[in-house]
Amino acid sequence: MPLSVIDSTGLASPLTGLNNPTVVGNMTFSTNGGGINFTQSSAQNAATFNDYEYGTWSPTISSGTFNALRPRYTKVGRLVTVSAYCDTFSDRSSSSSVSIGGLPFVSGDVESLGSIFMRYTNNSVSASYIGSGSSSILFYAASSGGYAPLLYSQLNNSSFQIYFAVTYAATF
Amino acid sequence: MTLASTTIIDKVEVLEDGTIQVRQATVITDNGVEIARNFNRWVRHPGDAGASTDPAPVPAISSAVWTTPVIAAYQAAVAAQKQPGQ
Repeated sequence: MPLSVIDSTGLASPLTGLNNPTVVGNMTFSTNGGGINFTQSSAQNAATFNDYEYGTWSPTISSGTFNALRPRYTKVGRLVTVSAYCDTFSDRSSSSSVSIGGLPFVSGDVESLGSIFMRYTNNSVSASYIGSGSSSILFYAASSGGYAPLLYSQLNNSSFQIYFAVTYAATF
Repeated sequence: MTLASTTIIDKVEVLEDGTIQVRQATVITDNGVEIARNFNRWVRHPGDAGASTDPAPVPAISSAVWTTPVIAAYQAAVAAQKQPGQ
């Protein structure tokens, strides 16, 4: 469907200086990096809204097998929110950290924290964590000393389940 | 009404360190007219063996991009990554 731009008087108008324009059909940015540019508010690159997308992602596990349900993502600009819940972990004995990979986008140069709840573990995990440049999620507990990641050996029962949601910044 | 479903790789993004972001689209058509498009995404880091079994064109792109130096640089970057508090 061709793009039609109509101003508030109902007449076709040039693409600059529009007053309350109405768009009929989709507005498509066919050039890489194109988007809605809020140049009056700040620097151009950091003020361009150039992406929106939602879908599913494919969680992976760093040890053994598991079952991931309802993995979803929504990307608005460079911010990505992912969520899922996981159960049926086959590894409940190794001493390595539980790490869920397969994020839909690699994280940028900032670290991000998210919410979590779970059952059947003796680790009081308080947050999900994505490091910079990563496509995996780790889980950490509050600690009186060093940082305490959730370990496979702390999954106490075959009914262990973990729900999480994290919002992080992608690379673009 | 003739519904059909097609799965395609409709976007592949290669990042600076060689990481590949893949978007797979499931396109639903009615008599050849697209009526819905859903996305599933995943990421392949340099050296990830799983890329070789991904749908085209991911294997070809990963083979072209993931030279030995690219893989080595990525692995070095991962090794240098710090955990919280470090």
